[in-house]
Amino acid sequence: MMQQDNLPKLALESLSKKIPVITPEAVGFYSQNCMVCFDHNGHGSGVHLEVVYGARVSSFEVQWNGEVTEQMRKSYGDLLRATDNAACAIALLLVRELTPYTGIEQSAIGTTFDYYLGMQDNHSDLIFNHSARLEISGILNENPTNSVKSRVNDKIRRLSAEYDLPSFVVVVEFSKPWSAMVEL
Amino acid sequence: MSAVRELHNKAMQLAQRALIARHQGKEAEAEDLARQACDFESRAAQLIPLSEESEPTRSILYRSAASLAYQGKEYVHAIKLIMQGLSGFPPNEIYSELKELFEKVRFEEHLLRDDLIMSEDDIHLTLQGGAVGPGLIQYNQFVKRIKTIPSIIYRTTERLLGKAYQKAGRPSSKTARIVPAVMVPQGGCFSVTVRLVYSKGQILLSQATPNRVVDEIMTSFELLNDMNLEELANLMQDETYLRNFLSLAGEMAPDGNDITLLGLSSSKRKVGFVRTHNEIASKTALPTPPTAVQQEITVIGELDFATKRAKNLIGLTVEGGTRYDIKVEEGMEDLVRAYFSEWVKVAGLFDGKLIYLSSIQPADPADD
Repeated sequence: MMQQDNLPKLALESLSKKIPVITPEAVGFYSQNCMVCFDHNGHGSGVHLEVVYGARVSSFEVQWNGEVTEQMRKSYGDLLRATDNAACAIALLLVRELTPYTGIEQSAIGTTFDYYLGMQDNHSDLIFNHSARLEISGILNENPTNSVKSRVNDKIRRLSAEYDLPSFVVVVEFSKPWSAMVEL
Repeated sequence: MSAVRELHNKAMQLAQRALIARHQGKEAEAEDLARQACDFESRAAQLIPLSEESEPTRSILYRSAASLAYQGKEYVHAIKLIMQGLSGFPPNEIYSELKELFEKVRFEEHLLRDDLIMSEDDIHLTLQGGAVGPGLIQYNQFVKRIKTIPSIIYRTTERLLGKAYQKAGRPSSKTARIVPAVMVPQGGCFSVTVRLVYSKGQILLSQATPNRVVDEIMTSFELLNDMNLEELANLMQDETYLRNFLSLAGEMAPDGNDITLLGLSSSKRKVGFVRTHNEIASKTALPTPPTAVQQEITVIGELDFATKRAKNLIGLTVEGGTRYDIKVEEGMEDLVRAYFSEWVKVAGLFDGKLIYLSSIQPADPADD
């Protein structure tokens, strides 16, 4: 990839800023999931993440503090789950940076998560009025049978059939790395 | 900050702590934190008036509270919260989500009534081949394989617990019974998820947790797929368990035509199992070459257990009424049991009196 200076930054440590659903004490957990997934693919802090959002293509520099340790790799050894958690973190950062929304609710049903987004400047009691749904998927290393494109299409098919509320689909891939974001 | 937002944010903080506790394996703490989070989220939901203008905030808050109650294993409370959410004016999608959550809660409640607890450990089973269409499979091809799963789980659990191979009789009631629950097929090829559930109120020993059982099954299939029989024998450490696994794995294995691939995956790894039933049988079934008095034989008939109690013997009655006694090696009982009173094709060595079983398969109509 051609070196690009002055790319906008996605700092993992900023996860709790303006994202109410991520609390300061959970930042370490989500950051470490991301670090392990990037590290698994040979990437360090400063890795460039290409983001395709509709017709717009942009790049971010993903930053974090510290190194991935053996203890961390062991602790996040279930890479399927780590990829899901890491994808949630990156998706919430991208939503904050690229849309007027932010993550305000997370529901865990078993091992899957659902997110609702609220307007960043909404201060009323009706916190989910004018909200949007966020569907996230993570791929550690895409291949022809498990691609970002097919995951996006699966999510769109499902959401189109069921949802009237505005919805976002974000799929994050950690080897290239890149992400596709679609607003429905 | 509004009271609703403050209560909701507090609920989310606790929910995040529950997530981290669960990751750290602190299940009881995670459940307790989820229950606390549920309390805050329920209070936030109660502050929202029951009116159309309150939607979707009201129903989303109730759904969120119900999912926290579900995580905290407070199923009755979860159902009450779902009903509160449904009693307002939820938009279609939230209505569907509340209904879906209701079904999940009801299922968990049903398991609890049977003293079973859902683990988060799965084996995804994928079948490909001529007998498989998109989301469809020939009934017999599916049933013969899925019937094998409970035995594989049971025998793996017993072996991990260091117990001697038990030919018959009731399983021990002191340790948790781990059994499968089958989840809905997914699109594409034919795929189902077998989730492990275990009995409540009994001891779940660390050497045979659902997670460990899944891992051990995956390792066993991986080694057999590599035909690394030496390593497989090391893993089993007991000839009877080894024979039992080989007979059950052979039953699940592709036949190379109707089923060409058996995909097994867990949260940690995948095995594209391609060894066929015949391949496994040829490597494992005939321990000694036929002697002068023993000849290879294949017969088709109906299996019965009329003589089961005598020295591991079972009966086979062929068309015309001729009966054979079949000697079943220790470890192959689970396989034989699955075919009781069915028409089967039996192969083995025959000494004029007994057939020494090497393989058993459902009889193909073309065999008649």
